[in-house]
Amino acid sequence: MATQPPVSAPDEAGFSSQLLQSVNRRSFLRYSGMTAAAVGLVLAGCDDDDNGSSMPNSVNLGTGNVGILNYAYALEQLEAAFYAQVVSNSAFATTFTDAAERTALQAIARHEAIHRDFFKAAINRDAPGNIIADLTPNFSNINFTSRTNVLETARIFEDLGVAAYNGAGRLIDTTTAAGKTYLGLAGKIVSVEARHAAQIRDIISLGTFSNDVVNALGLDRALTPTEVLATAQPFIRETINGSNLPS
Amino acid sequence: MNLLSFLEQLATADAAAHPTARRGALTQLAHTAAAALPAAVLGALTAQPASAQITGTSLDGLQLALRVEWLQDEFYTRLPISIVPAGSAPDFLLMRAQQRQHIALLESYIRTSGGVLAARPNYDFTGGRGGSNRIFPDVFTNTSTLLLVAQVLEDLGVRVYAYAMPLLASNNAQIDSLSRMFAVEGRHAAHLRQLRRQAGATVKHWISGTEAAALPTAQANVYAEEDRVMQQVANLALRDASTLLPTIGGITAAEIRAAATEAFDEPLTYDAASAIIQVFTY
Repeated sequence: MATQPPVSAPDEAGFSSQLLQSVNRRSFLRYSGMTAAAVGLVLAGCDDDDNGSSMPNSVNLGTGNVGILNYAYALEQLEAAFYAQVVSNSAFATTFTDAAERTALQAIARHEAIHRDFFKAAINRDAPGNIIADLTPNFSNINFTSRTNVLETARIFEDLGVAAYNGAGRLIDTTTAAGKTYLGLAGKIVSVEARHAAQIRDIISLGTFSNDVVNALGLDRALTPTEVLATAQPFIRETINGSNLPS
Repeated sequence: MNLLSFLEQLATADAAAHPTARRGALTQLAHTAAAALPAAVLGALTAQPASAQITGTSLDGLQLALRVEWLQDEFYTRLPISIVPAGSAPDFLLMRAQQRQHIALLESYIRTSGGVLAARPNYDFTGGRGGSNRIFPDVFTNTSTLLLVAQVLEDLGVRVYAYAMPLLASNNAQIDSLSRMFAVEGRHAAHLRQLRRQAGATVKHWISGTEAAALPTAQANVYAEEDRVMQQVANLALRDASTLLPTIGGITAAEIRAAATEAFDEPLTYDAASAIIQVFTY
């Protein structure tokens, strides 16, 4: 662990306002329920950064801490896109007739969108030019008018998110102050993902908040990026390449 | 008891346990709170602390997490299982078992890190510290009070792991385990919030703002600074998470702000967490 410079917070309004515009515009596209395909088209024209991989449908997460941030960004993109589609589905209210369930899914949709946009801001701030392109979700196997199917998919995503953050902590290079910040951030998000997971599980069946995901040592799952990406890949059209991530 | 007198009480309690230390800081906090209250009432939510400065060693993080896990274990051990909501007894037994598993791991990490395991303190979950000035006199006779205190202890756990995580930077095994225990605390907290909802409480599964309006005074302290929306991007930059979503589609600015506070669990400082632990120990 390196010596840590004092953490101060100088005003960065210039950076902030500049960043805000682009983030908000993209959020608008996503959050307003535009189809993934349309978003992909729009974004294809302005973001063509794939870290050196020349395959058009391959996204290379990159190396080092930026790679880990891109990894988290990719997963949050997936989760945010999923919930955005859940809550914007025209049959949302008839699929989820319980108002409390609708409220919960809408809240989770917002949390995941905030996580996604937060990582985008972090990468653009800390490693300009190294951010992955916006991903195109593939939800063709999800029936958004099936409560059971939506909840089961949500459970998979949330448990996966928890396991991904748990597995990523040790991969962060914490010899810099920024690295320590990222480790702290991963923690601040992992417990929120765990709250989501527990809630979705309790909606599916009360009391299953930790069932098969917490082991006999009292530990939630931790998965490597390779394991996580294997589960996530079928839901993403681009091929995610995590081979350069720290291990 | 109002917030200010509660903070003053904490200052006294804390100073008793740590004669050298923290009375001044907590008294100061009470004064700060007095100054801040009118602003909060007016909804002027602009100036927040930029970012909690996490100070301490990895051993501090492990010790603090252990003290909270002990607290939870004692709570689950002492609660009369007959008054938990119907059907939830196995949940409480499971959570206790998981806390004990966490205790075993934390104790082993503390030993191997050269730390000393203190004796467990005395516990009083009424918040009376062995006396008659109780904050939760019906904690073990009233189901809703029991669930509330249980939730508070689990959320305390979440916030203490958030404190500990960045302190472990040089130990991958500990990072791995603490992150995984951290997540389990989050699952517990969400489940207890679910049980409270089913018992009629108005509460979300995540910490939203400081939750002060929905909770008695002691909890307002547990949730202090959970309304933070400024998130640190890197060591020199902050990002206002509440500006990340546009105000569209029937989402109000207040809802966006709430979501921004919910999306991140916030660390407590070592002193703030210790003060809360001391409400229930003596």
